[in-house]
Amino acid sequence: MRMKKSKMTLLVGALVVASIIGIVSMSGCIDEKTVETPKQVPVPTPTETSKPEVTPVKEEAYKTVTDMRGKAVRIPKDPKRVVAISEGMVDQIMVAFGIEDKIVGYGSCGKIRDCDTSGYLAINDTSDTYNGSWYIGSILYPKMRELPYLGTPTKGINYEQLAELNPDIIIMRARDYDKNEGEKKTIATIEKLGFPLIIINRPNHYDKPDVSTIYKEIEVLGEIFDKQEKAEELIDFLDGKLTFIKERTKNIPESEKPGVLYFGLSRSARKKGGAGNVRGIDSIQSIFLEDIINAKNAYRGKGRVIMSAEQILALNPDVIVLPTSSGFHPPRELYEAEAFENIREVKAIKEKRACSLPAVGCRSERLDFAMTLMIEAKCVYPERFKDIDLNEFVDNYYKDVFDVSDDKVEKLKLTQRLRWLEIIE
Amino acid sequence: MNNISFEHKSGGLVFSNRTKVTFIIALFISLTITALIAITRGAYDISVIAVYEVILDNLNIATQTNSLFNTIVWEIRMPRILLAIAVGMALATAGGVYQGTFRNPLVEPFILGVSAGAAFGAALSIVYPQYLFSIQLSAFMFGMVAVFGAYSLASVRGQTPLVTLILAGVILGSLFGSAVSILKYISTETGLREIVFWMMGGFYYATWSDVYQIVPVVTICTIVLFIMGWKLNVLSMGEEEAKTLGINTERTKIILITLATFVTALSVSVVGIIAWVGLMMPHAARLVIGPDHRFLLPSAAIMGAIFLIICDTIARTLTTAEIPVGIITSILGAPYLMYLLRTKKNIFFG
Repeated sequence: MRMKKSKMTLLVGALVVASIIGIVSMSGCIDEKTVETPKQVPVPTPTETSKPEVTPVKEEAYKTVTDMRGKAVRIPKDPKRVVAISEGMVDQIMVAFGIEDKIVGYGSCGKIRDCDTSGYLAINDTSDTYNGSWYIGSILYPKMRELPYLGTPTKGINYEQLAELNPDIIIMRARDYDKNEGEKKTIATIEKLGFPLIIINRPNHYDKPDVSTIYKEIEVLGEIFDKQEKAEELIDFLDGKLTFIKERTKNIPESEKPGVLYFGLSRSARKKGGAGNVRGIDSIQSIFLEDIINAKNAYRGKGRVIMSAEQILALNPDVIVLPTSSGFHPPRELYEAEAFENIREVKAIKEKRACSLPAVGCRSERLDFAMTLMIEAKCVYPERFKDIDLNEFVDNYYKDVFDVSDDKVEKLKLTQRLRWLEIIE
Repeated sequence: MNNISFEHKSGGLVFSNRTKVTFIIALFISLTITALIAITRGAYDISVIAVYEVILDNLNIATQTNSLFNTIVWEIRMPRILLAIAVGMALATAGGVYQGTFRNPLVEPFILGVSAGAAFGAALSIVYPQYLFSIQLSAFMFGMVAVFGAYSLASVRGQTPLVTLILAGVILGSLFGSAVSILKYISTETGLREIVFWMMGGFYYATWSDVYQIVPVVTICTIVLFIMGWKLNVLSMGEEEAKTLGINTERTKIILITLATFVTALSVSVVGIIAWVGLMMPHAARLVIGPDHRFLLPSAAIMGAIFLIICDTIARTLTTAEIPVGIITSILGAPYLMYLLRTKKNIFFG
């Protein structure tokens, strides 16, 4: 049976129409937007090949900043539209500088959203009923919630959305741009767009993370926004907190240093047959624990590994620190949940020496790192820090760093789940 | 041999060869139109005229001077679309070839472990970047290693029974799958995220250099496979029948599987694992044009390209961030295949 000619014509026509309708309907209507000229004139960076149409600009409106790659980048003297791809670090520094309203878009490990299930508890299989974001930037600068989320170098950046935002400057906190192909391509593509790109390095960009690189990040941002003085003040403040901790914990003999275990109570680790995951001596938490708090990581291996109950019993740590690990975990989970019955003989659990760290997202260090270290120091050496009232310390910390009201401080505490995690009363 | 005419067992519509050629031409026109529309879509507002001016400028036909438009259209959208076309064609053609060779409608290009091998290669390169040259190269190498491992495992005295080959593919796939799990287990948080995201597939890192690497090879390989379509028709009747008709079945199988695997591994190494295209598009083409591989393969290839362009356009325009294209292909692909299975099973399974 041969197909009729008219049927074939119909089929061909239908195909063409279907492909047009399909693509139009999925990506919005084709409205003839008559944007004939770009919304902005790209500012060429020193390494960019000059494009003929770049409008001549007054030299005095620009300055050159050297980013943490060592690259000199030409940027506007007073950048007004900033895209921060940094999992919160740049946003927080900008809040600390009082210039957060310049942020027009952000990139993070996820879009800012409220969640009520991420505080999963192993006790009776219940969940934390707290409903809110873990992203403290959304409290410090509530408008962040409405800003476009652009992705990350790992997940891919929506370059067109980035260009649509017409930023004066893009600040990206990166880790592996010297070896990771995805990050390399991301940086190359953003630079091709013609927007000035400043890279600041995450601490774990370096073989041995150090707080000095966090200070360097603040310095670079101070230079970008002409807030060198504020940057200096902020660095001094943070360094003061660390010096305070170091002073209190110096001269402790090796034999008296408690063995601390970073124990992530992730449900997925239990599903894989472990009791939880632990972090090795190469993790940034462990490095700060040993360098600043002057304690020792009970697990002397490297990486982040899932451990069985027997392995935890063998390590027998003096103190257990509970970081965010696929959810937020208060010590009561360890003391009461059936899932951890097999490790109740561990010294830290028997002596009730487990404590949580504030809720953080994306496992990234931000300006709250010095506060976290104080919480951890008090947990590891309660006697040496018995005069520190964490509630008061946290209140003052938030106020000093971010210059926020009491009301916002309460919201920040709620966001970092400090009471729920039994860090403060 | 070239004039063999295949008919639907279900007694559905049967096209003449001329009609089928017309249909393929229509598909090609649809592909061109889809690509031309897709390139005008994106988060950044550029008028349709300006988009085409950029293209003509880069082809030295006209002049436009906006560097930002040039970057967005020529450096970001164009490589993605060309890569989507190449990968769509590669996976759909490979799917059609595998289904024909194995005489099994549920076979897809990843059946012999190429995706698991490539995922292992990529994960290895992500976890140990200091030892391996690049994610792409490593993914490609291990993708090929997996398939040829399966082939060697299944070959006995110069013969490779198809059932044994599929089983060997499943075994190798499982082995590499476990190895990926180990790498995920020992990787850092960032590494883990990267592995997971790579495995979901996506065109977000597409560059012209990827296009130069992929497009010529895929074009040549798929054309060779199209030309071999008639041999696949004979092979589909069964190895004994094919031998009786004078076909060297072992050599034909090796050529077909090698080329199909090669384009699949190449595609996977650049864009990760994109599900459904290789399984669904040959079915969709078979539904319209029948089981004759001379026409089925080009139709499936073009339909695969159209499907991937549409999915990638959705992936880059639906939200302000990127969505892995593998998620879109699965969301669109699974219900479609379910529909086909429920309504047209006679056409596929006799």
